[in-house]
Amino acid sequence: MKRHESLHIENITAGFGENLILRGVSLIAEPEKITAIQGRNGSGKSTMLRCIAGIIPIGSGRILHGQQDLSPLKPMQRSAILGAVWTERTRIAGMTVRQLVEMGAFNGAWVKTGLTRKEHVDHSIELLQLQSIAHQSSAEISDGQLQRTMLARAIAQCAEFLLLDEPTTYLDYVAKEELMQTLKQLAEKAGTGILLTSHDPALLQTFAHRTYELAKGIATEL
Amino acid sequence: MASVKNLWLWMVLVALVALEIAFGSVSITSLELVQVLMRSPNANAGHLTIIWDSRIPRTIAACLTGASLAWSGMLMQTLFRNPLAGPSMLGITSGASLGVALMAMGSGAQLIASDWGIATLASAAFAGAFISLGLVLLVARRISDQATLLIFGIMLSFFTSAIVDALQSAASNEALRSYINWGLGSFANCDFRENLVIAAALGLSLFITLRILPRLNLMLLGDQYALTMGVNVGQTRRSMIVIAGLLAGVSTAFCGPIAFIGLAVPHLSRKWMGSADHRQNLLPNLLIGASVAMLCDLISRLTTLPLNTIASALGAPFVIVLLLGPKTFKSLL
Repeated sequence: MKRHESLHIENITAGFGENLILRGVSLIAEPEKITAIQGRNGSGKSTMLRCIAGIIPIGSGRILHGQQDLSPLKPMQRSAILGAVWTERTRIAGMTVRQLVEMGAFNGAWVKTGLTRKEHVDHSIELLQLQSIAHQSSAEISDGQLQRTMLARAIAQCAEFLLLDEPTTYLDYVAKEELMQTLKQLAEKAGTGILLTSHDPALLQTFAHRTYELAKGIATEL
Repeated sequence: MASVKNLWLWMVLVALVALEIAFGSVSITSLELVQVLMRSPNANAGHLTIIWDSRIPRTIAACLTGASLAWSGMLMQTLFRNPLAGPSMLGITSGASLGVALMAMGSGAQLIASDWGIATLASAAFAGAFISLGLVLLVARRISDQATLLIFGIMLSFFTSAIVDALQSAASNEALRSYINWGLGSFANCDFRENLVIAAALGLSLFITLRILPRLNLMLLGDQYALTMGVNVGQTRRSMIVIAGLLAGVSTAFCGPIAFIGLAVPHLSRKWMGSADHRQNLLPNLLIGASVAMLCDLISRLTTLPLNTIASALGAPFVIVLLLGPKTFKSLL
């Protein structure tokens, strides 16, 4: 079992020539922990997450899960290791909250939970307390609810690590706290490693086990 | 629930098939109709020809083409994550038109006059459709803004129309005639041979569709999400484009650039099912597409107006009402 392996980002670069956005970023994200990356707008936080997720190709460096290099992996194999919640709004008319969450089960990794597909989706919905709005159209829910829906979907994916791009941005203070609390439980109980970006130093102070500052294309541990 | 909804659609489909075969410019009584359908020796020879060589092939063509355009439209809307997308909005149909225009009014006039006429037109339309689709896709890879892409598609249509206009001004009357006739749209050109080609394209498309069906919902979330959820986005997108282009290209080739069905039927289907889930919408989409095409054909025959006129005249207001919803629509009046 690959459970409880760390994610090692080793010296990755992204961008070209003058526009090198990442100039050799190295960091470690551990399972059961929340690892945070803070930095100013345009510092390359999102680019870095996209590189790790395999959306943007890296120029050099390696991304390892334990001993396994992620770059040759197919999307399906990668999806069992990394799930993600992006900043893109994804309300779809004609798709309920439940249908969005169920999409996470696409990769089939839920099989390892020993639950049926339906039970597993139900479980993901309950974890984020979405039962009461599960059958509402995703076009009609609030930003906070959408954020929780997309997170439940990522949980349904059963990945070892979750990459969360600015997960608290659209939320009010109470909702921010609640979300971070949920992430903390997820890390501690399910063993999921969490790698997130944020603008909110105060929140990270409370919840992050390890924080990196990304500036000028380099990550420094704080 | 879903199966009851599908049952209704099947019933509408069967009713329309019956109407398509029973009604036409020559009136045939129901008793005679049964005789003709049973190929009874007492049946009128003229009526046998009308039913078997004209109405039945045309009904089949309407069903196949309607279903093809509807599914093509559905895939385009998902691919571009844009409810306005459809084969005719993104330059595919106009590409097909350009192909046909080049063939009919350019060098291929003799070919069209030969036995291979319809095949020639079809290949030209098919090539045109795919070239347009390729261009749209190329642009789609460079830009992420859907509005820009839509404008590109519309501009592509304008550009191809300009070439078509230029060709028209220089064309002979005969060539012009064959191009205009094709452009009005009709299911009457399809005999069993043509239907077989459309059916083969639809069959192949559905075969590929079934392989990618579970991924289509995820594509609605966009590339970033689809990729991190385990979808091979590039391959899926290519499959969608090939299917959408094949369906739209083949239908357009044989039946002309039929407006509205590809754009509107996916909306009808999603409204009817109350869901955007592709797995639930596949069958309803095909059934509604076939029904709408037959309805347009029926009205077109009864009014003797061209198919495309009917499709647009019926379709545009209908979609507006549907999208605005009855309430908004009333408040506008």
